[in-house]
Amino acid sequence: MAAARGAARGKSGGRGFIAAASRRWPLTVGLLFVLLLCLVTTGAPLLAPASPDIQDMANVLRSPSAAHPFGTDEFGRDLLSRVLFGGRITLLASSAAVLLASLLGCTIGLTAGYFGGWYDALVGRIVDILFAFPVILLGIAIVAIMGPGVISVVVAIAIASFPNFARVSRAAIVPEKEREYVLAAHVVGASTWYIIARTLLPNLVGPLMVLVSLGFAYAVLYEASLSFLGLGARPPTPEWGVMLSTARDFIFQAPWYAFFPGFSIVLLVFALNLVGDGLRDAIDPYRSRR
Amino acid sequence: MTRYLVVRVIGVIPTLIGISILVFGITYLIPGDPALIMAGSEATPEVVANLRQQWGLDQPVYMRYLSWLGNIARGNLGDSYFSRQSVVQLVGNALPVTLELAVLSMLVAVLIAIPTGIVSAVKAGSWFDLGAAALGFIGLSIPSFWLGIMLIYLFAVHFQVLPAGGFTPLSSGLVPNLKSMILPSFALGTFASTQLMRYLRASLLDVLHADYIRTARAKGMRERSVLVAHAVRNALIPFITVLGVQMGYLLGGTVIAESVFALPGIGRLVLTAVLNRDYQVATGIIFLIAASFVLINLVVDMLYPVLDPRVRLARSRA
Repeated sequence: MAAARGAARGKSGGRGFIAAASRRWPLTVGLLFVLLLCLVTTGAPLLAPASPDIQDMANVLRSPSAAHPFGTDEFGRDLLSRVLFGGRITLLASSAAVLLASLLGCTIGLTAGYFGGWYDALVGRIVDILFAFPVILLGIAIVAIMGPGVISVVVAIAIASFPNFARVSRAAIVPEKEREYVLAAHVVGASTWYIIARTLLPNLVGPLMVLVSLGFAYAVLYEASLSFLGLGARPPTPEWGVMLSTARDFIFQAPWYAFFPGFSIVLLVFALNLVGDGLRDAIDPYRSRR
Repeated sequence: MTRYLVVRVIGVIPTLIGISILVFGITYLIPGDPALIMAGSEATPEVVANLRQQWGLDQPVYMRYLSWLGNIARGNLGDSYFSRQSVVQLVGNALPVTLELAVLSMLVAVLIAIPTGIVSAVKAGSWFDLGAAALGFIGLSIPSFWLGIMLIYLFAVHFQVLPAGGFTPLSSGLVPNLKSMILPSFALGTFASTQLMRYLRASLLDVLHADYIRTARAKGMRERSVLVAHAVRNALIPFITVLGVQMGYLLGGTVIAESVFALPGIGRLVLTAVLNRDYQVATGIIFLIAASFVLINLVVDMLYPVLDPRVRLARSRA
C-alpha cells in the first residue's frame, strides 16, 4: 500500500510500527469484509426483517426507525431487506463478469505472449481498439445489441475488462518463458499446452490474483453504474444501482433512501480494493518495503 | 522528430479503422430491421421496402460499411430515425455541455491531485501522506453517481446553495452556468483526482531518488529550487500521459454525471438513443467518443517529445 511504503521510509520506531501494522491489515480486513458481505447477502432470506417485495402504502418513505432500521421506500418496502437482497445481483453479476473476463483475457494474453508473431500483433491491436472505448460506453453499446438486463451487463463488463487481463498476463509471460525451468520442460519433451498451463501459469498466479481482486472492485462499480443508468436489472428487482436511481428522485423527501445502497457499494468496493492492494504487497514485498 | 510524428499518426489509422468496424458491427448486430423501426408497426410492406432502399439497407454488408465510412469521412454521421435531425447537429447541441463538464472535472481533479501528490511525496511517511493515501483509497471506492447524489443532498437540499440539477447555459451568465456545473464536476473529478494523486506521488518519489537530484543538492542548490526546477518538472512528464488517459475515462464518466444531474450533454443523448432504439444516433456518438479518445492519446503522445528533450533526442536518432 502506498501508505505502508511511505511509512516504511521513516526512520523512527513509531513510524516503523505503523509500517509493520499497516503491511498486513489491509488484506485481512478486506478479506473479512468481503466474506461478511457475501454471507450477509447469501443469508438475506434469513437475516432480512421483511420480504423485499412486500408493499405497505401506510408507511411510505419513513425515516430509519426500530421497525425499519434503514427506513422505507416509495412503496413502503423495508429498505434494509432490499439492501440485503440487492447485494446478491451485484455480487453475482460482478463475480461472473470477472470470471469471464479473466478466463478470456488470460487465455488470449498467455497464448499471445507465448506464441508471439502475427497472432500477438493481432491481439495487441484488438486490445488497443477495445481500450479506446470507455467501459460505460461499451456497456451502452452491448446493451444496444442485447437489450437491457443483468446478462447484458455481465457481458459488457467482461468484454470491457478482458483486455486488461490480456495485457497483464501477456506482459507477465513474455519474460517468464525465457527462464531455465521452461527450457527444461521443453527439453524433457513437455507439450506446449502443458508448459503454458502447468509450468508457466502457476508462476503467474500472483500478479493475476491481484488483477482479479482489483478487477472485481471495478466490476462492482461498473455493474452498479450500468444498473443505475437503467441498462441492467430493472425495477422492482432490488439492486443497489437501481435503488439509487429511484432514490435520486426522492432526495428531497428521503435522503436515507439513497444513503444505504450507495454506502453498501462503497463498503464492498473498498474491501475489494484492500484485498487487491494487500495481495500486491504480499506478493511483491519489494514494493511494500521500498 | 518529424519521422516520429508521421509514424505515430499513421499508426493511429488501423486503430481508427478497427473502431469503425466494431461500431458498424454493433449497428449490424442490433436485432430488428431499422426500416421496420422507422416505418412503425402499421406500415405496409411497400413503405418498408421503400425505406430500406432509401437508406441503402438492401445493399450487401461491405457496401453498407463502405458508404457509412465514406459518410463519416465527409463528416456525416447519419440522421436520427425519429427526429430526422442529423446526428452531427444533435451532437453539436450537446457537445458544449459535455466538454465544459469534462474540462471542469479535469480541473477539479488536477487542482486536488497536484498539491496533495507533491506534498505526499516530499513528506513521504508523514501523517499528511498517510491521510492523503487513506482518503485517496476511499475516494477510489466511491461511485461517482453516489457521490453526486450525496452532494445534491448536502448542497441543494440541506444548505440550498446550489441547484440540484439541470443546466444553465453560458448565455444566461457565467455565475449561474458555473453554479450548475460545480456539483457534477466535483462528483466526476474526485474519482480521477485519487488516481492522478497516487500516480504523481509515485513518479515524484522515483524522481527524488534520481542521481541528478542528488547532484543538484550536492552542489548546494536550495531545496525549493531542486523541487520546482528539477523534481516536479520531470515528474509531471509521465503525469501528462495519465492525464490523457483520464480525459478519456472522464468522457465516459460524463454519461453518469449527466444522468445524475440532468445535464443535456452527449452522455444523455447516447443513453436516451439506446433506450429508444435510435441506433443511428447511438452508434454515431459511440464512434465519435472512441475516436476522440484515440486522438486525445495521439496528441498526448506528440506532446511527450515536446516536454521531454530526452525522448526527442532518442527518437530522432532512432
